[in-house]
Amino acid sequence: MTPQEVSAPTAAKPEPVVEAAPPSGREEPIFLLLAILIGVLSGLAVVCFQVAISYTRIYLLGSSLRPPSPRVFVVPAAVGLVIGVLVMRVFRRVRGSGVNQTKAALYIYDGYIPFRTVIGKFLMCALAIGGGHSLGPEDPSLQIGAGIASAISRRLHLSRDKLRLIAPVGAAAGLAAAFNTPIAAVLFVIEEVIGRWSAGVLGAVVLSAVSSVVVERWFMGSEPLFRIPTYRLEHPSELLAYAVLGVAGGFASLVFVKLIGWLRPWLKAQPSWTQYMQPAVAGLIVGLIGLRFPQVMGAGYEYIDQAMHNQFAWELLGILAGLKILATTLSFTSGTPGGMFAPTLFIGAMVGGAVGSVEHLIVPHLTVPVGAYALVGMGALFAGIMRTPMTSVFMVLELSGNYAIIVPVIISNAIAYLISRTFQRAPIFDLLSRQDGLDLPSMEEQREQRVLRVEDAMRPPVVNLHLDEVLGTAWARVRDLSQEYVLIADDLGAWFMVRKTELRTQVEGNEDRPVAQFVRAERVPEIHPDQPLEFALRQIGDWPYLPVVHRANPAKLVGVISLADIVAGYKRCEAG
Amino acid sequence: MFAITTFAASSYRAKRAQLAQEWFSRGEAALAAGNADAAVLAFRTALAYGRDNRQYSLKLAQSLVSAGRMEEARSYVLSLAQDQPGDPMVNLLLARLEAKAGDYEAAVRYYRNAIYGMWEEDPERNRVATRLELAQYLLARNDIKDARAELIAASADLPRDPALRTRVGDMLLEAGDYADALKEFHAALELDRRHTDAIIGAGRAAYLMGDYANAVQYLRRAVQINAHDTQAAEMLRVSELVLTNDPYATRLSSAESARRARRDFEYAMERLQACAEQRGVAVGKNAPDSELQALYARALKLKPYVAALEHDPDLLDRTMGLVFDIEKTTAELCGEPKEFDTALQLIAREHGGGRQ
Repeated sequence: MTPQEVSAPTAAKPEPVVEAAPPSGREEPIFLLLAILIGVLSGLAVVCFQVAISYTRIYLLGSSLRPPSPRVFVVPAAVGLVIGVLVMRVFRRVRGSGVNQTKAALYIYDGYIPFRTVIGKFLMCALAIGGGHSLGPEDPSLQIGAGIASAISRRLHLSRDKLRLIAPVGAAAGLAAAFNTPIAAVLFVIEEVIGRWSAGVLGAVVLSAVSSVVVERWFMGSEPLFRIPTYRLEHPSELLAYAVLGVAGGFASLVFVKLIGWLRPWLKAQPSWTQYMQPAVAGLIVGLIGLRFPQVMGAGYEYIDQAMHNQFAWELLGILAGLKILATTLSFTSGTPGGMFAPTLFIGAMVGGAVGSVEHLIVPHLTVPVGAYALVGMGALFAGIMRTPMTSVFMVLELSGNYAIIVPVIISNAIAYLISRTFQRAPIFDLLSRQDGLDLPSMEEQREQRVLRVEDAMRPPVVNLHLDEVLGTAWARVRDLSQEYVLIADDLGAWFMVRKTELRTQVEGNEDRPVAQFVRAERVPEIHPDQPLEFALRQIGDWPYLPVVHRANPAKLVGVISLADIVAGYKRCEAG
Repeated sequence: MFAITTFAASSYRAKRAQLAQEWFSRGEAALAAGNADAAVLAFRTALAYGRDNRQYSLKLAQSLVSAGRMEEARSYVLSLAQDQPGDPMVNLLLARLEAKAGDYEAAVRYYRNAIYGMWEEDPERNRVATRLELAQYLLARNDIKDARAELIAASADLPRDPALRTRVGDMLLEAGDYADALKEFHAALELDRRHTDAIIGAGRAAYLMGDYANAVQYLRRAVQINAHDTQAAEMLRVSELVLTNDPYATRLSSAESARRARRDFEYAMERLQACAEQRGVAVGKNAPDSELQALYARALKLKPYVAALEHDPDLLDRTMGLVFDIEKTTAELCGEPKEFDTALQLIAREHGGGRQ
């Protein structure tokens, strides 16, 4: 294993064994209460994190929006040097944004995130972002929340299942507090971290996200990160303008992901001593860019606000978008800990503003304000880079509080997503995890995976009997069939199974008697055509086949399914 | 952890408030020093730390305007207007921006919104100042009728300030409402008898109204206060010439009327001859083929009878009619009238200036 891989969760050193308690009945209500506690603690931690970033910024770079000349490139470089040494020597697990690290905890390490990682992430990211590196605080907040949740759950000796689930609960809390958008945070965790919906998970995640946002707003106020311009769809033809934005956003996101995908492995392949220096070199370059364009340093929320209020010319917007892509790529791929959410939104706002401004020049009678393009642009880049379509739509809705924006957002996000999907197969988080040597489940692939249902594998219905039917008639109907077992229904839609040989032995002398009097039939479980095939697999047991019945009329047989049918169904899906 | 967070958050809030105020002060200093770009950066920084502060927002908007960054200023102020559409200061900024951009209707609308908005500080003074600014804009756009209406409305709410009264008076003069302008100047002089601008203004108003007796009184005072005021001095001399050469002045004897008319006639003849010479026209030909020659012929016909003006009022009218025609024609053809010519033109305007 190369030294640069020591930061990846698959370190050579074995992970501590997590002693999980067996599941207990009282865990469910405790889990929900725990979710609230985790939300509160994560909210407190994120508040401290935000304060730490701001103080670091003020004391290292000064309080001006345009840092003074020597500091602007000396500080990021010096900070990078400190981070390089600490990340290589002390906090080995804090590289990266935090999203993949949380997923790794969930899928590989039974929800375990060392608390040292939480401390390291807090300190290193505060230093990096406050020191001017082009990174954001949201992804690290996600990991900090997950780490807090992991620590608490280990203390309480929860079962393995709950230990695994607690990390996403904390992740949602951390992200919600950092971004001040609880719905988007919940959706992101479900779309990107857990990958599935269930009432239990959703409930806990929502509770923790809401709790953390309440705490965050209590301390930091409820003013939004940036002021959103008012938007109103004046004419359907405006949607074409947003479609153009979707195209631009899609290609911009491609550039960003491809650049990271190329540069990160190249940097990781360099000699190990360079790993100490890479954050410093990245910081120096970012600082030199910041000499002329200080907007690209740090998270950049003030400038997103300005872009949304048409404070930049289109040329500057385009330049800032390009430079931010470059700066974030350098900061991130050099191993400096920090997130990509804020830079993604920054790039989106600048691309959106630039496209909007140019469209206004070409078509002067367009009534859409440029700020609306910046807002939609944020969603488009988020969809193209993060590849979480629902989160990108709801995030814009939650930030703007304006449902009129939903159609433009959906159009541009869908186009950006499709372009990104077409030219870049793996989403960025999957790409990063594969570069780290981890085979984490791809949430995008899971979303797109076809759910096999019983109707995809069942066979046509066979001849079946009725319990009130006379033996003579029943035997006559099944005598020549090849199947060994026969299905019998009653009036209430319950199904039974009997061997054909038993019918034969009972029919002599009882031709006029009902089947129910003479036949020992076993009740067989029924399934429905729309149910997942996995459900049929669980129900089949030792039965030769199961009846597939109509939901509105359980006595009506629509098909049968056997174990062989189920296996054949899965094989066809894999082959197809 | 709650205690740590409480401490961290409260100290951070205090720090932000302190930084916001510091940068705001720097911005004001930069704006006062005329360094608008530095003011923009300072106010933006202040807003980064004090996001909802209206005062910072308005100052940023003002500094953007001062820095000539009109598009940014416009977008920024429009975004403020979305949050506070009735804010008078926001409307005033928008009015100025629209005025600069040439959107007359929008500018007037925003000015009126600002006038009738709820000013938090010194509402009367701000309202008057805004109304005067609107009036100035309307005058610049040659919308005299609306400008007068705004000035009359402003006049009703003016505080006891001679400078403001004088300013309104000057604007009324510009709007052609000399009578109301004179009232404003009188009102200013009642508050401060030695107010120079009010004295000059009153003199101008009286002069333009044709009240040369009053004009002379005010203009003499103005020239005494400021001997270098050439415009006032010229108006004074012309007013005095009007008073001493108008044969139609009230309470004049027929002898004095005739004497003045003869003097005016002689001057007009000299003016005619000088103008003809300037234009290379030989007057005195038997067949007049130009306007100057025609006027000269008329003058020659009338000259023998000018000695008997005091006995014949019709002859006096014909003589003065010829004088007025000569002045009108020579002004058109030869321009550059002297003060006496100006006086004669004013006398002509005063008394119809008809031909005989």
